[in-house]
Amino acid sequence: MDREKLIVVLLLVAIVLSVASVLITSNLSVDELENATTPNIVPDEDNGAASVSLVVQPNPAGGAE
Amino acid sequence: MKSTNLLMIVAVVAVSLAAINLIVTINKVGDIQALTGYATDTATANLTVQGAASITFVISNISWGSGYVNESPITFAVLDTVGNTINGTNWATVSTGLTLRNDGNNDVTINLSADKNSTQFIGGTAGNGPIFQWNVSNAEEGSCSNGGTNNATNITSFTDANITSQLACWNLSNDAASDLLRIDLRLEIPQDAAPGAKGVTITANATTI
Repeated sequence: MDREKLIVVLLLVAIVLSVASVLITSNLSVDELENATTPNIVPDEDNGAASVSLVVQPNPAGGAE
Repeated sequence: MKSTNLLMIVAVVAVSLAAINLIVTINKVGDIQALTGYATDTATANLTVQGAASITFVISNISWGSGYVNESPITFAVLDTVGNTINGTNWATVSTGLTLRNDGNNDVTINLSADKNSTQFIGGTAGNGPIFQWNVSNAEEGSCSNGGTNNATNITSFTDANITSQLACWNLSNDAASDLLRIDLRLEIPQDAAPGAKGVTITANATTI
């Protein structure tokens, strides 16, 4: 008899889990996936910098000041 | 008998719920498969990869070193990055321009600006006054389209560089075989330019098309 009770309890647990599963699956909505905003994975603008240099020396003959 | 009946009822209910669960799950999975394109050749994948603007100066520094303007009759020296050093002494001959590469996954528009104009950068007044110019060309065939003629930039001759942004290339390709721009520079150093170190920073701005 105890064994029968155990089976009943297990079946009841199975029913509860099944009901929960049905509810969760029913609430799954593809709308959320369809309407999800596209993640901004990269910037659409970038900068690069370069340097230019020289040194102006005085003209030994006095031409540059 | 009584407990057996109860067991049977509970079992029937459990099986019924399991069957309902299976049907609902199959329906939902079918919807998700259609959304992601899984296991069917007619589904569409709902994903957008946005363009990435990413540029790099692969040659980012030009330096002529130290030198001076020769005596008259010419009152200025000309330095450029195409191998000319005219009327100057000791400055290095530079034959390589700045080189800019599109590293992103989309075509971009390139604008150039400098942090100094010619007066701030070089100074002096002799000759034509200080001149600081740039010219943009394709370092790889077909890199830039200027919106009209293909394979051409928007600065096709030496043009005064300035602090304000200037369109250099309307469409710089992201194709690995044609994504390089060359930026050549030309300076005129007046004889009366103040001695000392001179430097300017050139900024390229890329915007995804």
